[in-house]
Amino acid sequence: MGILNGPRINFWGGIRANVCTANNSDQVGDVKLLDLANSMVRPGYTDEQAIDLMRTPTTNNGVPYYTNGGWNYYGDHQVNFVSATVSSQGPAGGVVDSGDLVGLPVYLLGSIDPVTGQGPFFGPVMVDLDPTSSQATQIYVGGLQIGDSTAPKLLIRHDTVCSSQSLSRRVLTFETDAPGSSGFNGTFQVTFPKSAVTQYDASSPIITALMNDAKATGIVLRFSMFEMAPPLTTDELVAAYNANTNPSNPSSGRVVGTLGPHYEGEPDTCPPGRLLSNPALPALVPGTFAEGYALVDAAAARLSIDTLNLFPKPSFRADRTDITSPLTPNVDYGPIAVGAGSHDTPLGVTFDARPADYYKFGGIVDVPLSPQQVQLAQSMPLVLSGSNGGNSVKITEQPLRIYGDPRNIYLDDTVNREVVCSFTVAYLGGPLPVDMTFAIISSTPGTIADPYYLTFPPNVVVQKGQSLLSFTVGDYGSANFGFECLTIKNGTSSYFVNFRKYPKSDFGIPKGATITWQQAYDIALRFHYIVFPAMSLRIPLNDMGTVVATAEQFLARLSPAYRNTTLCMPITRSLSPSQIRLLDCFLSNKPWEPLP
Amino acid sequence: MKRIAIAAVAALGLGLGALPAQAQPAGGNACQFPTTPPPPSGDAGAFATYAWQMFIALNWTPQVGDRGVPDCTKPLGGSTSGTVWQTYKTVDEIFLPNAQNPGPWNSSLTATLFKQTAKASTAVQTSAMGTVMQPVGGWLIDQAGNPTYYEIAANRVSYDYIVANGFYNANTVNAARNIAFPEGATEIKASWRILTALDDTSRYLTLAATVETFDANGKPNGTKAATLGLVGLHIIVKAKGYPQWIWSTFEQVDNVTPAPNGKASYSDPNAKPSDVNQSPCQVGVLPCTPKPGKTFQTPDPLTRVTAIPSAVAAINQQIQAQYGSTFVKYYELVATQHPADPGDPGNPLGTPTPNLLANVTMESYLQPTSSCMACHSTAVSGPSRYKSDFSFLFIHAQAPKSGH
Repeated sequence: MGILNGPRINFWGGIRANVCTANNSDQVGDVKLLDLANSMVRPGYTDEQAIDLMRTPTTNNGVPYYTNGGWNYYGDHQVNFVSATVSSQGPAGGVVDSGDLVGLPVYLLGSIDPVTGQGPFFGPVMVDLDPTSSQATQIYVGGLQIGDSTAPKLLIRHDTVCSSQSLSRRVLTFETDAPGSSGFNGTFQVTFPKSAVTQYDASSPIITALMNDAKATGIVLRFSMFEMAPPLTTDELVAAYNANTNPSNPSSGRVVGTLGPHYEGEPDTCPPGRLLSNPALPALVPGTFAEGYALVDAAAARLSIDTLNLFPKPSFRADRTDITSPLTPNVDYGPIAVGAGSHDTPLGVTFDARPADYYKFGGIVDVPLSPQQVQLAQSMPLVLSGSNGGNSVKITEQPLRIYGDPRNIYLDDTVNREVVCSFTVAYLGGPLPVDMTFAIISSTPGTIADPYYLTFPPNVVVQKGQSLLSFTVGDYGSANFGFECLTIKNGTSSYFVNFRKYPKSDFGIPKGATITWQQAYDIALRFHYIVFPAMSLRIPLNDMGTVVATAEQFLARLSPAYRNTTLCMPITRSLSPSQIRLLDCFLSNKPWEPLP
Repeated sequence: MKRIAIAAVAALGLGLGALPAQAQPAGGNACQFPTTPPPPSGDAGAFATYAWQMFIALNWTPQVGDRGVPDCTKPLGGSTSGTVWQTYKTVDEIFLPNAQNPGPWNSSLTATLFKQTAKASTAVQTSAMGTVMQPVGGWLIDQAGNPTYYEIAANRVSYDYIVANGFYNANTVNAARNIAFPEGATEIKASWRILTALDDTSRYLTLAATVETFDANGKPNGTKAATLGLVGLHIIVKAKGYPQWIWSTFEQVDNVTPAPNGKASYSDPNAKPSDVNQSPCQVGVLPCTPKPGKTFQTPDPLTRVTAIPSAVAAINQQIQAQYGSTFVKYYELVATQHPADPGDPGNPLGTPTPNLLANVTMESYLQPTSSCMACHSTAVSGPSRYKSDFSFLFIHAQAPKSGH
């Protein structure tokens, strides 16, 4: 099971997520300026007025809090590790903080241009499917590198996307004058197929162990970011805007991660394992909590637990701009006792959660078990508990876990706007012990009303002895569009999937007409000029001459070949197919041919 | 021959108020282009110092017979002696008609310089790409009603790379798959305005030239002799350790309000706010056509949107005082943009720092979103999708006649 029982490479460092925050709401200050589902700016404001509105300082509960455009109006959506280095390596149960890779840099990469093969020229990008939602985001990735560029120890090129899995409390005391993310973590998992490894050092024992693992189909990267806050305070940002220096102000914090093997049948973007949760650390989805993942490896007589998000830090770092110094410790709960069952039957083993240096080991602990302990741990829900100096913790297992790769789906990218969603439903990590019924419920992932365009079964029954839950989701054919969320639920166990459906329109333009600049700008470009000014640092979207002169690049990056890369234009994937068609006609001087 | 050429330039300039270069103590390192940039963690002051080192070296008196090389036995250059950067190869010299090989850096020195001298107009006139046109937003008319002229030039490292790879030929450059300039490649972009009788030429690096003239709609209608004053200078260098290059821009101090001379060349205190920093072109019309009520002679009022950083301003004052008897006194660094993370493969653009940089005479209408590095990161080789290493030079490459 990936990072829990295979060879591991652990790393830690800083991370920056330079996500533009201007599209987090239709509402900009007191004005309902945006129509996010349509990717349009509502009429009534000039470009200059709309931009001024974005830059206007605002308050939160009467306290100054950045601007109407959020804390990062000028963000370009890139995500990059900062001074992240390998900190330990080795097989499960034998990870040590020394080895040939320890100290080497780790980079998350952007995409190679799919047509020219050049690059990367842009980093990985973080994009919300529903920008008004805080329950999930995505990162588009083009690869991974360990070691410097002249002689990488490991170089992977592969375009893929991952979604946040658990956005839960990680720091007990939030940073003041910072978004709520300062107290939360986000976990991401990416899987690269072995065939995507373009270069590796065969003399490295740990890399060789990964590559030569016969059961492995790929390499999985799991990382968590936390203590995320923009470096500039409200006063600093407002002063910078007043001086028109217009800096980006990316959420910046810590990253801790692990590479391991990916095995057949495991999800690509969702950590496998038994689900542990800490009820003292609520997640952003109501009724859910900070998650950890456990695996009992009977053959190895070992319990491995990904505890990275299970134990909190007492406070945010002292210097909000320092994201590369060693982390301050987690809360110390003393030795953590492992128990099992509703009565918390002690297994007779404890482990050290290593509150001071857990991050050097990916937050993963390996606990040797006796055969009897293995049997107990396999048959009953796990319980982790600790108490030390007034601090206590009790982490319990959610016996029924629903999980899988579907998380953020652009319905228009699917054939006939229909997709089969498959999930693992596991009880104590294995098949269901009885028949179970799972309800599927529609809601909105964010703040925009549920458009109800999806068709799906209200319930799905999974038979005893099975672990696969699968159903078809489609568009029932209404003109509705926007953001819809489906939650799969049984008791307190749940999992959700977000969908986006773009609107389809001929924009009132007669077929065969010549698309004018004003139409191209007003319908497709203006929203991005106002909402994502970082795009105009590269190509001024309000300048016809530049847009026309770069038509070749526009058309390329709007094309399907770039859709799943970090080079997709727009990065935010906020152009509908109809808007793309409009731009295509304008840039290619083709008569208007609306989508059928 | 070079001396003759320069003398010819000077002769054209004399009598029009050109300021002879003031004697500076020769020697030292001031004449040498700096080879070691600050580390990426360097602050604005460190990069300002580096930029000024480049500016001084590039404005040194050029070596006779060796283009792009300073004569360190001579003082700082100027309107009379010429400057090192003015001996760089302009795009007109690099990208010849019919994709002719422009030859070695110095072998055609005489012809090139005579061309530059005798045909000074060609160096600054409207070319096929429009040297009165900014990259974005059209032309720029100063408060005297005259257009601003632009020229682009490259140093020997850039030039030799272009020639060695045949990249002076549009067909070759369009087929290129891995354009990567060597370390030390340097490009210059200069902006000039016509100095009138109301201008104090001693406040400018001047150039006597023949410039193209235009009708009210911006169509060329002739030439005239003029004394040009340098109003802007971009310096970009692919320094060691900076694959994203380092980007500096200088301006003449009287460009915009508050102008030390009291009459800014590009600002109008009475301009309507809605007219300030606005492109003169009609929206949705290509090529650029004046907006209703405006002509090619209508001044385009400007302000500086982003103030010069205080750390840079402090360095400016030091250098201006140090070179107080020369034209340098009247120039100021706006800022230097550099990648703070130049070697991070996960962050290919390297975090441009500061986020914005604009020269009011060259990025007049997009100052709020002007980023040298971000913009130039989109540069491609001709109509292909292959990147051209942050350089837009190849826009000027010409194809051979068909059949060749």
